[in-house]
Amino acid sequence: MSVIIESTAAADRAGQGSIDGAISAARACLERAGLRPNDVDVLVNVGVYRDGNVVEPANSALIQLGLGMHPDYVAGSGRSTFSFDLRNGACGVLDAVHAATALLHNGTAEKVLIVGSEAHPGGVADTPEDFPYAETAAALLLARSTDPGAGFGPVRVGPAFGRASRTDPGVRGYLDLKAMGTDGRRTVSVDVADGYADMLEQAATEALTAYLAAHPVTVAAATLVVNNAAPGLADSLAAAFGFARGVQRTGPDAGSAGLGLAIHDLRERLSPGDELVLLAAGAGPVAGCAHYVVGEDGR
Amino acid sequence: MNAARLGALGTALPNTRFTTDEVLSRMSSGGSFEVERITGIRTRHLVQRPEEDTLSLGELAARDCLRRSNYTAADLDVIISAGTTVHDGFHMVFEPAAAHEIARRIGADNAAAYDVVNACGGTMTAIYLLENMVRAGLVRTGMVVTAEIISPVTEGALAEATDPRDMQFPALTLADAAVAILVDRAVDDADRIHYVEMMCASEFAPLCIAAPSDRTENMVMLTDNKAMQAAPRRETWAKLHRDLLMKRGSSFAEERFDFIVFHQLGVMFTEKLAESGEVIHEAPMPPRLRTVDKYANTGASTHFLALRDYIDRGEIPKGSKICLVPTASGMIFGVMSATIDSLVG
Repeated sequence: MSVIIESTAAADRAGQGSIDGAISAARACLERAGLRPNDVDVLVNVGVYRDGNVVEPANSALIQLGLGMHPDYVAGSGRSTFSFDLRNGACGVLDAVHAATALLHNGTAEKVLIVGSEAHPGGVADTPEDFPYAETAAALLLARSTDPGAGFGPVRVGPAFGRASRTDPGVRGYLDLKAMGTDGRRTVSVDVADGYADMLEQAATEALTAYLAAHPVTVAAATLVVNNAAPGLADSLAAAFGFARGVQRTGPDAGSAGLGLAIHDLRERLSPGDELVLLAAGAGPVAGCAHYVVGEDGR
Repeated sequence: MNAARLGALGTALPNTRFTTDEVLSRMSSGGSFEVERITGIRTRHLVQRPEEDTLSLGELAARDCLRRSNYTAADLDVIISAGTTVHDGFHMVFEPAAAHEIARRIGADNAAAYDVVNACGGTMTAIYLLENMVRAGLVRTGMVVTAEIISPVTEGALAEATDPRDMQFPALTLADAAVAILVDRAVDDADRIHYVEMMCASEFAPLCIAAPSDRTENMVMLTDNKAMQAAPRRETWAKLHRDLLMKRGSSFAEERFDFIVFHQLGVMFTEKLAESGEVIHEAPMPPRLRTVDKYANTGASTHFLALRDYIDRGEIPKGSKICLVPTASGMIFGVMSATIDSLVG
């Protein structure tokens, strides 16, 4: 059994907020796969920032609600959707893929939908110039495949720099409860460390080195697909490791949607047998990789 | 096929304990609430920020869990932090994931780390993931660390709640606590997770919302308790469980559970869940664990805090078969069946 990306989608319209952005991307992703919302067994939201800083329920429940996906349990049906938020900055999508692989392998789920989206909690009107993330969303639908050569290889999201104490996380995104006053629904602080781009490249280099040592990939024939946490990261890593090419989105950091968007942008240009190494790097610092082979049917 | 088990359980409580009267004496809204009479809550532990937070309590619970296991921190493949929110002092943090810092503090140098957020269903969501990853052979040993710091919304209710039917009443029943659960490979059927089933009935997601207030400088939680606890919602866990057991060719009665653990929301509520269970399952409910009187409602840590309490008092023998029932905002419903041995210690 292998696990493949059955379809992908992006939603780039600013002003939607993180919930509606994720709903748009999810809906497009399902339409492309010819599926209805009720066909999804597990919905994982990897988005980090939350509209209005609502911390309960999980964003995933609100996204599921917007999609009209199994809104209530129908007794005797044995069908439902389970949804949850998985949060690990830009790397959350790889952790979600790892978990989804287990769910699909065990038959716990037939279809797992992963959505990632970012938006400032206050919406466009309250987004300050220094908010580092683009308002954007991506969706990936994962399923089993009978094509033994296709799909994901091992997924590894390792701690960077051996978990040394006092490691600078690179990015700290938080709501200061002492300073928020009555503006807590419209504000969030995102502190980005000096030299964050270098820190990411170092973490990504470490992750990629460890991954390729454990799981040999013909890098000269493979494409390195990277989230856009720093400009030029994909090119720089592709050159250093000898990949055929490196791809990432241009423009502001798409946060948790970054890797999904890069995969989506590439989808139409892939051929059976193409090899990808998917890489995400972000706050922690943390970086991870997954090998992916495009199947006979181009997925 | 691998199976997973609940290998060890650690807990950590904030240092300071308060009576319900002591908590309510700080009410500045002018409201008056009979929290103890309605819920049975007598005492609870609350964090004193900034010294106590998600990271410090999470570290303590994780260390307690490791001490009670045969593992060292370096043996962990993954750490999942699963509280509703992450508090680092007075900062409510969205990134980086809290699991990284907890892993760093306990020396889990080889573990992947991330957070799972699913309101009070966070712990069971993380166990559902670990159980699946162990069963699929992707992970050997993982730990869920849930340091649930939810008293900030109690502060909000103390400042804002006035009406006896106030949507902030449930926020007055909350308290803080951390649990850490080690999940590893089962060796035999006498010590294993039998199944975990989870779902979200998102139609009811708007019934409980926690967010910053726009009236005072606080976090608040607004809950439509009446709708959340209405009969159809009380029956969902049982219907889900009944359908699952039917698929497995079994029934609640045939499963012969020794104990059932509901979300510790108030004595009346758990009894109503049990009553609905008896109706749907057409079977008597096993003994319920009840710790709401001494710990209050500790959100995502409630089930395992109750379990620890009963184990420490020698009330749960090795080999007990337990049924855990999470109910949470979202609304999240689920069931886990496990026979526990190593966890009892």
